[in-house]
Amino acid sequence: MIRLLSMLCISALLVAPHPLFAKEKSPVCHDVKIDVRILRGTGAGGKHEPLSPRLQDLAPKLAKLPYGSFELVAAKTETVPIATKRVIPLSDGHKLTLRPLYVEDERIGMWMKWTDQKDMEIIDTRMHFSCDENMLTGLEENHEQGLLLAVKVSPVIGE
Amino acid sequence: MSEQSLSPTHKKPGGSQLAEQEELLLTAYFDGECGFLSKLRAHRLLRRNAQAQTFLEALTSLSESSLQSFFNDRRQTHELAKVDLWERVSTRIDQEERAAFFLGKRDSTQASSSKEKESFFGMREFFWGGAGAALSFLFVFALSPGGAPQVATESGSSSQAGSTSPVALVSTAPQVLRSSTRVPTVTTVSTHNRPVEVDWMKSDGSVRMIHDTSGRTPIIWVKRRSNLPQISSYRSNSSRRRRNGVQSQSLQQRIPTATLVSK
Repeated sequence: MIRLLSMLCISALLVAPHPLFAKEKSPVCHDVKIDVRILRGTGAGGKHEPLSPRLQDLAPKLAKLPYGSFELVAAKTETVPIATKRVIPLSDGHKLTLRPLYVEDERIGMWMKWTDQKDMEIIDTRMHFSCDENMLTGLEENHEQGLLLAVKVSPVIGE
Repeated sequence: MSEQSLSPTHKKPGGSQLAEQEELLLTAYFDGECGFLSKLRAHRLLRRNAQAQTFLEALTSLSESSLQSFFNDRRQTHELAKVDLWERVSTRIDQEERAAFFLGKRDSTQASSSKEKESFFGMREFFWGGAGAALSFLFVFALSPGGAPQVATESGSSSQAGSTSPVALVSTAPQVLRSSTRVPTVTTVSTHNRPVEVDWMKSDGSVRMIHDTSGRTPIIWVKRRSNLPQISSYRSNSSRRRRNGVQSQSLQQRIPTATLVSK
């Protein structure tokens, strides 16, 4: 029994460092692609109007909000290196400042700050979420309308 | 199985007997507890040694006779089952209790010590095997080229260059006027893949999380505060901007703008 175990251990010692059995490393990711969409929601309490094709992926989330219609105000895509701060100007003087912290196993860590034209911090947060997932942040400007920010982060696989 | 029934019948011509190792091998082979190599050795022994064959036949006959006696016993116990044994059991319990009262409880340490000896003997092999396995695992772990995947990580705070940390920003402004919602660290919200984790969250409005029943990421909903505390918070903001060397609007200009926001 002892001899058998010893033989097994020695064979494991010889086989394990072989590159054939090495764990496949995840691809290196130095940059992330950030898709930002700015939406304006209006018609609070009214009937829900059909969404434009560019907003269909947000339909389940937008249905939770009290607005009847949603309009895509602007859309931007930027490639940002990891650990680099980037300021993305939005419409009406709003700004989105973000810094992707890491990408690992389809998981993103990011710091994000949204300020309006008067430098009011609408949101300042550090979060960890899954890649290709739309993070929706909304600002209720008044009872009739609101401004929404949809941020989606995707890793850019390097060679 | 007694040695008396077996050993006299296994003398080879010329007086040589089977060795103890060989008898153990044949017994294990008969019981079906042999490995592949042991089976080969047993077959070779049976082919070359007539005494080994005789030994195996004796084992077989002994097993059959044991089975026969077992079945006879079962028949007897079946007949005994018709007898009411509970009276006997309760009588015996009373006897044991009286004996325990006068003589003390039965000592079961001898049985446990023999069990411990057996377990120790069995454990020794397991211990050495486990030690060998652990040692080889350590070698493999030390020699393997694995490591964390190469990702850029930043564990520091998210402060801008030259500005104070989020904790300091909250502390400089009065708690009531700031009206910031500082969410406790690492709040998790369920999603269909993995939960969203929030290290911290600040806002100049009131924050509400709208959860999604489908399990996706929640919606962060911020409501502006259009009442007086917001104007006062602007005052604190403007004082902070002055400290940072940024020109700010006067308070008289701010008030009309604030009223115009809510139509």
